[in-house]
Amino acid sequence: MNMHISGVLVRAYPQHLETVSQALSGLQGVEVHGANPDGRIVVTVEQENEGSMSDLLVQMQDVPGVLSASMIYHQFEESGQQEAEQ
Amino acid sequence: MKLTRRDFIKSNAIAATATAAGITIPGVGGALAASKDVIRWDKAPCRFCGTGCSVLVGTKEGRVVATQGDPDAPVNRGLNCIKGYFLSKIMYGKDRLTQPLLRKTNGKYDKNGEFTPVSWDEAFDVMAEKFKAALKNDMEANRGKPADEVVSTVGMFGSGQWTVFEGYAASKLYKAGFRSNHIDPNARHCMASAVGGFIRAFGADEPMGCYDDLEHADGFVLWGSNMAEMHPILWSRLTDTRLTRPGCEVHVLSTFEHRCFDLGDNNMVFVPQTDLAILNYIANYIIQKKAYNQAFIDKHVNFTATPTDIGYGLRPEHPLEQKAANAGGGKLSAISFEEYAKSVEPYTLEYTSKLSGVPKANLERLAKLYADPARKVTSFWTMGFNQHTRGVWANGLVYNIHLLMGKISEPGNSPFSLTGQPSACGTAREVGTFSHRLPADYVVNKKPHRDLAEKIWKLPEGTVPGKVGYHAVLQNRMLKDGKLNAYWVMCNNNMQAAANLNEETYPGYRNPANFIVVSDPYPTVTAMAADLILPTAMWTEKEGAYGNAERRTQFWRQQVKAPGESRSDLWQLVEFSKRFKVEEVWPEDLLAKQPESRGKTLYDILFANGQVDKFKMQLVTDDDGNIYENQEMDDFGFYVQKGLFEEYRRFQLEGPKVGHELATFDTYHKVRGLRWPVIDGKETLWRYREGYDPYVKKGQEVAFYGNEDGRANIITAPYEPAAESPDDEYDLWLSTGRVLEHWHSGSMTRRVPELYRAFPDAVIFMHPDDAEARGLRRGVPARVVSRRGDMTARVETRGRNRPPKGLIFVPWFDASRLINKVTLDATDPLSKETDYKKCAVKVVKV
Repeated sequence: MNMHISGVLVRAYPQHLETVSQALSGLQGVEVHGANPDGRIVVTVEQENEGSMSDLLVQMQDVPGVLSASMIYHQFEESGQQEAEQ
Repeated sequence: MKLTRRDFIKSNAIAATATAAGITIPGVGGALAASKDVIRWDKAPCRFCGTGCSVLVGTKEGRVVATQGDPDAPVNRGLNCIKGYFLSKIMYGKDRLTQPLLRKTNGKYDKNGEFTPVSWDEAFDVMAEKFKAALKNDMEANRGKPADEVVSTVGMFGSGQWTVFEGYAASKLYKAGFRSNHIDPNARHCMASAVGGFIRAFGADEPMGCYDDLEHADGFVLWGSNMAEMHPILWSRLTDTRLTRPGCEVHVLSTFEHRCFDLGDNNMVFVPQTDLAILNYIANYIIQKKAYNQAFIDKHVNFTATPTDIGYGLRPEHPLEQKAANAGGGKLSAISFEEYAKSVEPYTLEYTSKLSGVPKANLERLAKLYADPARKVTSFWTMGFNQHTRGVWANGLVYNIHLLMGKISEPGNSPFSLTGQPSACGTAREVGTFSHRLPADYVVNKKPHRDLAEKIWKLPEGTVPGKVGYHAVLQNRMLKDGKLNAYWVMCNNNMQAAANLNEETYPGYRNPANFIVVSDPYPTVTAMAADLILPTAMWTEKEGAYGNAERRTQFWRQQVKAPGESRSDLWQLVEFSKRFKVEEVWPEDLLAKQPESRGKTLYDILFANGQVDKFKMQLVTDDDGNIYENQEMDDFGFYVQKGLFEEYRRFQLEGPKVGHELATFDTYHKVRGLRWPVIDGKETLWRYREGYDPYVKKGQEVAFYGNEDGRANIITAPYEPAAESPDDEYDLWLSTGRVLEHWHSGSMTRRVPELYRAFPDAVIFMHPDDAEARGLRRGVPARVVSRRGDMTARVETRGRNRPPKGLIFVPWFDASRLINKVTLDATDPLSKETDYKKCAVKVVKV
């Protein structure tokens, strides 16, 4: 099984922060982790399938109120079951 | 605490994103540092556009497995766009080429044979034989001719995606080795008009400002640039400023609505080609309102006029060229301020609004922004200006406005030409891989410039030919006409990219008189039209250097090995030079001037010349002690990249022109790039302005020192119509361009499954009324037909690009739907850059 994880920075007008965050959270595999009051939202996207990852990225850009979505981090692994110590 | 691998990676993603958002999220800090245990991270500039974002490349077991925006990079500050985000995958497409392929029948080269795997030796044997045959003819033709009459039948089409070292090596191999100036980069298709504009106005190429302008402007104006899709990271910086700087506004001009309109405060859709009139209207407004900066004009500006009715850069026998009074004319003549004022007087609000279709209120709001001395304005443009049959004029007309107001060369006041390729500036322009250029803004048709090149290159006087070579569009015409016979295409996809492929490009490549070599990592349509394909190492499979649009030079180390037998363009150029004896390229009189060169190879003369091979083999390491490979150093036995770069730097240090100085090779491996000129280790943010640019003396304020008198040229030029406009039969404008997910011809991005799926096929963006009038609707296939060819794609009436009635937009990334079968190869007669934004088509049901 493949694992694709990315961190995405979404920008919105500050007055739309809440509605945009809600709309983003409603997308499958998308999680909102916090936001700067100036309109910058911290989002992760997790997918097992490459195609749905791309669909999501496009959908995110199309969420009303989203001014831009920038990719920050991306990693893919062949298998998602290994353990890591921290 | 035990974390699953998934949690671990996710916390890395959150930590990096939170940093970019300027916040901390409890419980996820520190994960990134821990991840260094398994992944080796190192910096590299992105492989795609001219923004020049830095990414951290994560390598594990010899494979790139992760990337992240480089938080220490001044350009992108930890951000990446969707293309940068998938960078790690462009090298791993399933159809990567891993060995040379030669067309053969019954075991022998045959232009009509099948592609057959061969060794590098066999590939170069056949290639050298073809090149030598052409060079022999050239030697015959050039017997007794002085340098400025030398002709050639060998050529090369290169790239703004070449590393600095590769461009330099290619230019040297052709101009000094093969004595041919028929080398031109694909940057001709994207930046040539910008270069022409810079040289004519300022006498020196590339922007005076830098990306810091993005945080200092009160107003941004986009002239034919869809930054939201093409330069997303710069767009995110612009968005930040618009949202946080009180009073900041964004003006967007385009021939169709696109994503930038979502943020725009003053959106304007204009009739194609009428940008020329709008630019002149603004100048007229400034003059009528007496808003111009008189002191600045008096001290720093000349007024000039350029010849008009200059044709459309088509073949000379084309009726439009026959009709033009001053075809190709560009010599400037001095005029007075009053004459200039008179020349823009016809561009009234009334006239301009009617011609352009832009409402008066919008035009006036735009003019007011420029004319307000209290507001700082940054203008951005890309292909809307450059791919324009009056592209050099358009570039000049925007400088006119900034110069009238003195809004130039200081934070936030900046006319800013953006670039499309990662090293259009660093390689194509600075190294000078154009048919008329030499490194550091020197040119082939000036004897003192050739003398300088020959001195630095340790060549006899008269080696470098003095006639300007064939430019990109002319190369295809000359291939078709059989006048260019041995041709090497590197690091680009010109079969897909060049206009009018049906009538010029394809017949040229398949002309039996020609031998065509294409170096590429993938079997592009260009590669498939070649006679020999050479497999190429890409991006971090080699050590490299790029220069971005704000004059920033950035280096990277080789991170991984290239697959199979593929080798970098640099390796190919240097290795191929070993096949030529100097007697095969130089006539006796040159040899007599330098007898010690007799019997040597071009490799000895150009690369093992005591300069380029000066830096011996060494370990390439980073500050953490990681060791990196360098394929070229291993194979040639010296630090090739370093030797080439240090020789190249001498052009910046030893010639009469100042202001192009780069730092030393070793410096760039340590820093996140530096903006030239780099003087005493310090970069230059704004050129030509006292206090920022060390070449401007105390008390001068501003000095445009690229021109002898230190003044910039305001150049008046009128509105003239496009080469081809819609008529009764071909009733729609066609504009081509790019989309966010794909970069240029898509040879890399279309091999990333996510990007492919995000935007799989080119579509015809059109107005729903235009679709309905032709019996079409969204999603159905339709044919786009011009006088030159046709292509079929599906109709899209919604989505991100919304053309007005009368215009369609078709992206050109799709190799199976080639819009360049339809486009016209009309060019700017001054820059020779093709106008991909305007021709007449009809759309019909399939």
